[in-house]
Amino acid sequence: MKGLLLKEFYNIRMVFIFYILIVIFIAFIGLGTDIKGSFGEDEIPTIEEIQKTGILTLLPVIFISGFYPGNMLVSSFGFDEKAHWTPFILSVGVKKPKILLSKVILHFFMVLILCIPFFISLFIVDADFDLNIYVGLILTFFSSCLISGSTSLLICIVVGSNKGVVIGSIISIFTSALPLLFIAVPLVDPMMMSQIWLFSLIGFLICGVGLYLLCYFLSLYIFKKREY
Amino acid sequence: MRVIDLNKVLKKYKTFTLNEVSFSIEEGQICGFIGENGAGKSTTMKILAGITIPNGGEAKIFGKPIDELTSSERENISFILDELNFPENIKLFQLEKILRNIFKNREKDTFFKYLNNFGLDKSKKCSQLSKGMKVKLNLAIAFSHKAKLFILDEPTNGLDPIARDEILDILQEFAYNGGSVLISSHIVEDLERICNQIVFIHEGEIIINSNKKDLINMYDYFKISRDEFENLDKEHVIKYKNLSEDSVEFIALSDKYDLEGKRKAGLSEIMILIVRGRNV
Repeated sequence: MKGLLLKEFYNIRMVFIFYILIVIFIAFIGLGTDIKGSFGEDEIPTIEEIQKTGILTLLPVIFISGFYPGNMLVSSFGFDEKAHWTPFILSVGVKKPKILLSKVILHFFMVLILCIPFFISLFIVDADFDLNIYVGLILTFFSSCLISGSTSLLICIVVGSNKGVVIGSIISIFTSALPLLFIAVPLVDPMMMSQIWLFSLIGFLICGVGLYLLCYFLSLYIFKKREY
Repeated sequence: MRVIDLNKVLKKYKTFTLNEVSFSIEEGQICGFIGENGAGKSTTMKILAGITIPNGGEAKIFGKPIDELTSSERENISFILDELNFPENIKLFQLEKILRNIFKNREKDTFFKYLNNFGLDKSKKCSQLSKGMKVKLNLAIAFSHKAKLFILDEPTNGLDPIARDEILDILQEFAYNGGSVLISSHIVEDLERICNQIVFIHEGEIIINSNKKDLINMYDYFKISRDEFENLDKEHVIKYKNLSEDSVEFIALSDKYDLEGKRKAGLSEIMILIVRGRNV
């Protein structure tokens, strides 16, 4: 397993570093904006007021943050397919569940790691959010990464990495937009920041993890039947 | 001891069937696996690698069915399947680290020794290697864990004659020390040089499975004029082929004809005439 994890890491390391740099770059652009903008307790902010918070600068970060991890698994399969790695590794006796598990484990940890620059960029832009919103956003980000990653994985296993990249990207675009919805609700109406909002976040997280596990086992079932 | 034993192995695809393939390889033998493209060589090798599941028959390595081989038993086998199998953005020394964590009996120094011998820079990425270098990398990996059996699908494709010669020497030395090799190649001269056994597959069926010396001694090769051929008693002619309007080549059972230019048939001539030649 260690060798497989190492290979996955080497495989996507450069793309991962590139991603972190993009996030930092965009977050620093956010620093240049008036980050002290805030809204009154009961006020609905104008577009100008929202712009002043720098939150619009953050939107690409949130979007990329969701999009990249979703595509990471598909990219990993794409690299393997191009290199004919899977037949080789199967021929030396590595079992299919191990191959899939190594990808999923690395993806899971990458998503966890990616939460850090995402969280930092939230603080850099600082739209005077409540801590609950920060936590909520992180959970949403985490869930959307799991949903996009797992569904892309399943699609990739079913249709192959070439088609999987395209379909997985479309799914990733939609799921990575989900945190934007959650960020928009309390921005537009701070009163919506209630327990219902938090409960829906937790529900979203449970859905994310559930779908992740379901897609993993379905992918494993199909992957086991595949011949090279 | 039989290191490879295939018994009526069957694999059906929509457009191709590997039809009850049977042959075996003894310890210390180098077996050349020949046949035209699409004849079933790679399918057979993939079945031996355990990555393609046959629909029937039995495939054994070291006396055990392939799906029952343990990981440590599989480490005694080195496979080179048809193309480079390593992710392109990984450097060679990183690849070594990965493989060291997958194989238990891997020899780091041997790997770097082969890289050095083959003129490969360990700090290069797989994507920076030329086709010939990729082949050498495949071989360096195959040679650097303590395998007892090599299963090599077209390992010398894309190599220059000097590198090919070096590889063939390594394989011969390996077999001399008790290792066994199943090797497929379109460069029949290479197989003719090193193999003890030849298995010839055509359209999914084994049509020749013979000791190399016996096979070469079995047939004579002739290139004669059409008039001469037409006046010949063709009882012992196996296959013939028109070379031009007035010349014909054919193979016949040994020592049955005493014609000018008679010589022993080479493997490639046997292969071409059996596949493309006409029956008398």
